[in-house]
Amino acid sequence: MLINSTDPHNVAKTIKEKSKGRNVVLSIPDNYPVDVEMLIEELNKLDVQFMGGIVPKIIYQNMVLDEGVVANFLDHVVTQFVIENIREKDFTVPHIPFEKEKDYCAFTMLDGLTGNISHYLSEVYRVLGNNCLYLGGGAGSLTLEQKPCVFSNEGFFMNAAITVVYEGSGSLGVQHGWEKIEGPIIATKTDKNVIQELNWRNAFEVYKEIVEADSNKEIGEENFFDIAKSYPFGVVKDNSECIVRDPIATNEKGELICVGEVFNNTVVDVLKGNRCSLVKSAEKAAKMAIENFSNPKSGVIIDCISRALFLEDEFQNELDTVVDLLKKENDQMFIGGALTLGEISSFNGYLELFNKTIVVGLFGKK
Amino acid sequence: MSVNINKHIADILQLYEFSMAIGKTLDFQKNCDNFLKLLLARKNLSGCCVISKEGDDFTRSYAYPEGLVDDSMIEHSGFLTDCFKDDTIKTGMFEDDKKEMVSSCRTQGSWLFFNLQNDKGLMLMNHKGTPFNQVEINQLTPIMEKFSISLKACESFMRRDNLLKRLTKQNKELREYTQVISHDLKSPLRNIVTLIAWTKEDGENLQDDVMQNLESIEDNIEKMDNLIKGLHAYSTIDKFEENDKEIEVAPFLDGIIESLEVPENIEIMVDSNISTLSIHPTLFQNLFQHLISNAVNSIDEENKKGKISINIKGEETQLKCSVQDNGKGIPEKYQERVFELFESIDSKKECVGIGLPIIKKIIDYYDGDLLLESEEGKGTTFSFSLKKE
Repeated sequence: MLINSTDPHNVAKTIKEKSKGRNVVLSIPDNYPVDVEMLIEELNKLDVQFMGGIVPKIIYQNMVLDEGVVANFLDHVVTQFVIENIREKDFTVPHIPFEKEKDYCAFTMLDGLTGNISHYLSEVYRVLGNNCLYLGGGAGSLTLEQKPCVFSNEGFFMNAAITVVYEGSGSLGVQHGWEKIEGPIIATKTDKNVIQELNWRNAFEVYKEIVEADSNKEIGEENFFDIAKSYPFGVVKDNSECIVRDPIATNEKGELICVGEVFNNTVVDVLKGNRCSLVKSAEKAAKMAIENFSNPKSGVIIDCISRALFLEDEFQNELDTVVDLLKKENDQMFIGGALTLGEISSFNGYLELFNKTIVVGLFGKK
Repeated sequence: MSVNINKHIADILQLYEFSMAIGKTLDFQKNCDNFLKLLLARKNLSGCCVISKEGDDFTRSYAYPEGLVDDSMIEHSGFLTDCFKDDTIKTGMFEDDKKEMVSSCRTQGSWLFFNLQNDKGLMLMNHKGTPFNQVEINQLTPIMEKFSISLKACESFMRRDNLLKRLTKQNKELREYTQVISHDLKSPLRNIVTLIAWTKEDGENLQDDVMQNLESIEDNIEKMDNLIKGLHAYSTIDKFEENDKEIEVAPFLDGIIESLEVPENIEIMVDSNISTLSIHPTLFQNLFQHLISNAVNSIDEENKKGKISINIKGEETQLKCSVQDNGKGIPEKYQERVFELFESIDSKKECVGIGLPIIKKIIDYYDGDLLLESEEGKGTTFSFSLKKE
């Protein structure tokens, strides 16, 4: 459901009325003037179990919004846990006693601007395994200023991840549509989300040569984001689309700062997008999810904010395409979601963080 | 047939990426993590497990995710027995009869098993159900061989590391033990000495033979005391926690000689081409104290012209020393045994058979060589070298 009040008391009261004892996942746009600390207090007073994130924009049905609170209600929650300081790698993911006959889903909201996100996801997968269908996204502000952005009954957090595990069936479709223009090249020296060398040379020098040759534009520290948003990296994988890594800035050392880790010796391509291929990929993601699940009751769209920035007006077309396909399956279907800083999915088996990608999830009973 | 060069390059670079992830650490779990998580991510696999074979039983050495394989369920697995047979690579689908080996995780899809060295096997799983193809298996085979060797190295390192830890712990215990033993043994000895002294004081009219017996007891106590001191010194030689220090050779040796109560008929000459030396002072003192003391004891007190020559020669990488006396010498049949604990050819109370073993242990500690030359009635020369650090 979409709640359009900015009064924490009203928002909490509406959620309480609709939740009927269920847990709730909340998505709030970064610019929406609702006091999150107060909202947490109000929801706790009403004994509502919740988690959520502050995201660049929210999705409700086929609308991208800067205002409102999207609430997704979850039945049969098994557990919900907050892991603080995921940047430090010193944490323990709790074990969950899964029943073999049941299906489970795990939804994660994490600080999209923190470090070691891949490590967190790999630890979650180490403990929870392939018992769950994983979905989620990176919260945070489009200004890229890091601040508290995920919340639950336990508080409002930065550098943290919140995961809720619940009984339920679903299917996923994950695609990005970015296409290779150069590669493969090797990220020969990296440090977490910073690429220091490509093919044993200064990373920016190599990237600049490739991008300038294609764009006919000069790229520097000042206009880096404007040009680089069209030229992400793709981590090469077997028999599937590559994993996109988004370079968002460079520094005086000529290093490239990405959203999400790039490990030493990763083989990457440089990609380029075109509006048509991106929208087609979104359609493909929706079809993939639909193919593997009949009679869905709800849909979740986690789409990358940088796709929206790249597609501009065309983004509405992407969203309409996806929502139309989903509604064909069930025109009463609730569709909620967010534009995020990094997308999370276990579409290919292994749990990974994606960039510039759309993840479509369909949920219901088998 | 057209050749897709780009695909080949991508395949080769993927092997490069896998290869670089192997052996970055000698920690077994981390080594598995580095390589296998990458393999799962790049190949879109859902899990893997390293299984160890011990006789007819199997145990899980590594699993990602953790719940993928449960130890209790694979202990006597017929499926795994088949996998380990004849060292070949096996692959198949989980729909058949292979569900017995997995526990809480979903078990649909395909599996691939590589036999590794040291009775280990690697199981890869793809829960999406796509069978592994032969080209893929061929590509992975040399990488798995490399991974197998790296696991072997990790295990060897782990064993060595455990051994070292155990040894360090045992050394610490031994040091504590010898300290306690020497303290606890000395304490009753001191009591006996006091009691004898009181007995002698109180019983002025003691018979001569009783007095003689008491003196004999005192001698034996002194010998026992020397033995305890010697044992303590012997057991702590290579366990000092102090560092080497710069010493002045001549004054240092003079100090040792002065502490030894050398009879007047014995002349000690020192010849050294170095004035200072960087060495562990306590060990150097122990070494020369026992050598000089040994030389002094070997010279009969009636021998009017006892001579002991100490020679120290500093070289670039080692220190060469000798201590020569003109004492009674060591019979040839004892020459090999004198360096063993409690082997003494002298019945004097000072000679408890621990001095020469201490000398040998100190020289061994400095990675040096020791040579004994002796002729009965003419004297003995101990020549040795100590390696400089």
